[in-house]
Amino acid sequence: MSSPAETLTCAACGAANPAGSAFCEACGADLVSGAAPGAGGMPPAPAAAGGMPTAAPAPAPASGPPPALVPPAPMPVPPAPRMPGAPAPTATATPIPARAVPPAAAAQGEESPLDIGWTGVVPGRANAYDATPVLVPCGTCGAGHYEDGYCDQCGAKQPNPRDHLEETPSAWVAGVSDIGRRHERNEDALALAARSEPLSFAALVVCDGVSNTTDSDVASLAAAKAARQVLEQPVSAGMGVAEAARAAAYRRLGEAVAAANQAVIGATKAGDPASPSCTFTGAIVDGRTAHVGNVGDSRIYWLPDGSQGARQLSTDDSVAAERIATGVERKVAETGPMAHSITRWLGIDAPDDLTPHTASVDLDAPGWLMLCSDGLWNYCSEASELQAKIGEFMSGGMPPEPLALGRALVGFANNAGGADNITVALLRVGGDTRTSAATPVAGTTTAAAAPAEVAGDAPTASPGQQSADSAGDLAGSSTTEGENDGAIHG
Amino acid sequence: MAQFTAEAFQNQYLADGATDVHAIVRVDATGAASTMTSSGGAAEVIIVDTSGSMGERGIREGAAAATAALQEIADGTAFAVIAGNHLAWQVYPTSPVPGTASMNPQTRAAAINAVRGFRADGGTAMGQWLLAARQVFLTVPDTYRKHAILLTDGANEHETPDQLTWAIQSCMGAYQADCRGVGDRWQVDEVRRIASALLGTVDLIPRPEEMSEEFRSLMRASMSRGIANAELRVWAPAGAQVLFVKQVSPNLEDLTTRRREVNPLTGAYPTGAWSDESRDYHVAVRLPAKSVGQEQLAARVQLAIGEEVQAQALVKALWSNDDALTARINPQVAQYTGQAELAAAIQDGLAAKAAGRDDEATSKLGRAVQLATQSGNEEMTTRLKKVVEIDNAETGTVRLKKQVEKLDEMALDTASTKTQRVRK
Repeated sequence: MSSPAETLTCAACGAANPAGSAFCEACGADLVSGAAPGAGGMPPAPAAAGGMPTAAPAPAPASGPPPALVPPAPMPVPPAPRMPGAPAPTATATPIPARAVPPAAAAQGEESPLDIGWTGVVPGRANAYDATPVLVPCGTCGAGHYEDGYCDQCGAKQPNPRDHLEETPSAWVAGVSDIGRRHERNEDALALAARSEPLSFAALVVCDGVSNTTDSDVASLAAAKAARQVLEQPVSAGMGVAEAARAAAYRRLGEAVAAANQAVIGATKAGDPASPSCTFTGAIVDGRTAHVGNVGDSRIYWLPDGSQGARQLSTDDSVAAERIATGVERKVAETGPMAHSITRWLGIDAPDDLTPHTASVDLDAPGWLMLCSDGLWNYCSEASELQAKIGEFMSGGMPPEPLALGRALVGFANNAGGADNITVALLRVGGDTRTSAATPVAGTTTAAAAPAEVAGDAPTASPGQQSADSAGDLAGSSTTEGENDGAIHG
Repeated sequence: MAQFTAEAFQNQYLADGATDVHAIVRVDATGAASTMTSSGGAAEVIIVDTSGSMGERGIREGAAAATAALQEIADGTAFAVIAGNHLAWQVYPTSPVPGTASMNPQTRAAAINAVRGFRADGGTAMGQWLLAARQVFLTVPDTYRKHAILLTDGANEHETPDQLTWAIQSCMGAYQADCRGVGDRWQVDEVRRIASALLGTVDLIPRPEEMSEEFRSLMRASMSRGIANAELRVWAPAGAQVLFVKQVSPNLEDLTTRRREVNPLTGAYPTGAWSDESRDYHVAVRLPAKSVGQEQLAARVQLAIGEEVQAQALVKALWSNDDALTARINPQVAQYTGQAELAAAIQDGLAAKAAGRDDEATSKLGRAVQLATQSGNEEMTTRLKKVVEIDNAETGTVRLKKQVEKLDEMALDTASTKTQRVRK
């Protein structure tokens, strides 16, 4: 096992490469110009939401303009190497090593979300890569090389890193985003941050890009990252009063929506009639309290272990939800006409009011805080059903780790049809997190950079903080925030 | 410099166990219109029938048509004029050996003067004309765009079909030829065979007086082709089989047998010279079936000039168990498949009619009427109405007309391979 110092993490796809590599072995991106700096090496770029337009459509390789690192070769501003029909699923898509993106790399302008895509060689003329062709051997037949996203011998599709994203910022927080079985692109996105200490501080974001719009895969990822950057800043707890902490968290969620919205707009081409848009769900977990907010129909659930207390915290902005409110049965409404039409979304054509629906919950029992896109809840909508489903997994021997559960839930949705992109972000609350925290998790080394900065600046005085050090017996502890109207008591 | 783009239209979803992938690939060229080809030069040969059947009027109009074409040839172009009957004569440049002259005001005037000397005499052996033109084209550099216009008024009576076939095969790849028949005594299938092999068009000129205008526009079109020789390349994965490669727009041309191997996985198919234009190709590939959920590339379809690939479209295959996805037929594929069937029905029907097999002719032409009606192809329906009485267009119930103008039948035949463009 190589130590982190000997590897270069590709800023485009996250794969680890041997130190000194010029190009990423997984996706071919230029590591010299696009490499994420070593953990903690570069201060976070200023979080100017107005900087987002640099994440705009030109699929240039990962190269913001870091001074002194500007590559001598002109970078291509190419006729997009995107296929007319965008990538679609393959059974061979390899999961990306679990990881977290350090804040520095996530700074706007530093990393174009488009870099996630394929960056191989286009045969033909005017190719900026002609001088240095990157030959990636085919993982299917072994005989050929990927030429234009496909093998030049057997035609197998080159796995697109964007099709399957995983993040594990910490042992107690992880997420999986998968293309599913039927869509040609993964337009869902997630962005997570967490300190290593269980139930200390975490920020989770899931965005679901709306289909049939231009580059909503790019927009949703930009939105999720922009929102995370807002949410992972320390929450001012006021005088330590729960009420004030909650108000501050809701303000922060509103700011995250605004930043995410700006990011989507930044990824929008002028005059595009199918301008990208996406949903937003975000959570701030401060100690033992989770504050959540949403716009659109991606959801947040609190799912305690056992069979009691499961609850959906988010409020869908959807036609289905409106019909349910008028008394239509949930199953009927969620499968009926226009069920998937959302009534609020982020984007240049977003409605004026983007105030997120908010709620708070005390994480006062072992269980899961879950953010997910409709690619999952379409197959399991009721909180109690999800709770039971997770119970099945756990009694079947699945360790109570968020990445394991995320993969299991994505697998469940895919087996059920995978009709949409599937994204699940999970936060584990429970006595067992301490043991799993001791297990090294791939990506925790890079992830450490994120929580460390948060931790350094933000010893918050939230009620949950006091018990964070004794996560082992969280199950029995109680919080002081009983008056919270969003609180769930199992 | 010319720019090419390629775009694929297909339904990439295959049902479980399905193996055949169909796609229409549209290739567009811009900046290709130029009197000077990118590779340097161009050569034009005008071949005029001077057999006895042309008569005085035919010869006079033939000379006028040749003159009209000569006036369209740009200065600097290598050119020659050939007169054909049962033999072939190089009328200009006047020389005992095959060769070309470079176009300029003097040579143009001399050539125009030379065609005035056409005399109607002798029989018809088009193979001889084609071979004579080949000799002329052999004297110009390989990189030149080489194009001929061939005019005939009669059937190929003075050589055997095998001789003609051999001549055509000798000329394939040496030059392109647009072929025109004047009047109603020539054989459409015979001349189509020449035009098809030589990557050109075939059409009917009903009256001799219309030849000049036709020659003028043919030569003008040829002069605008700035790209001498382009190839369509089709890559298919190891283990796959290319079922067919057809040009489907602006006219139908099956290129499947014209494959030249570039490498074991890639074949190149000739497409001739290009101007600013758009052409559609129908490519069908048979793949080993994969399991549901898997995706793979079925074909890379490229336009190449020499060894340089100018544009590429990807044809994909994605196996799915969703009937809603797999049952859909791409509209472009469906339309062109229908037009190819329509063309075959017309040609087979007319051939059966000529051979006296009236039942077969009625059935084939009835099917043609049905197809033309279904696709809303009014031009073809109108042409078919001149050959058959339509009792019920929906079911394809027709009767052969007792009195049919030979020219109407020939016009239907020559028009059969012209396709209607399918919009995006």
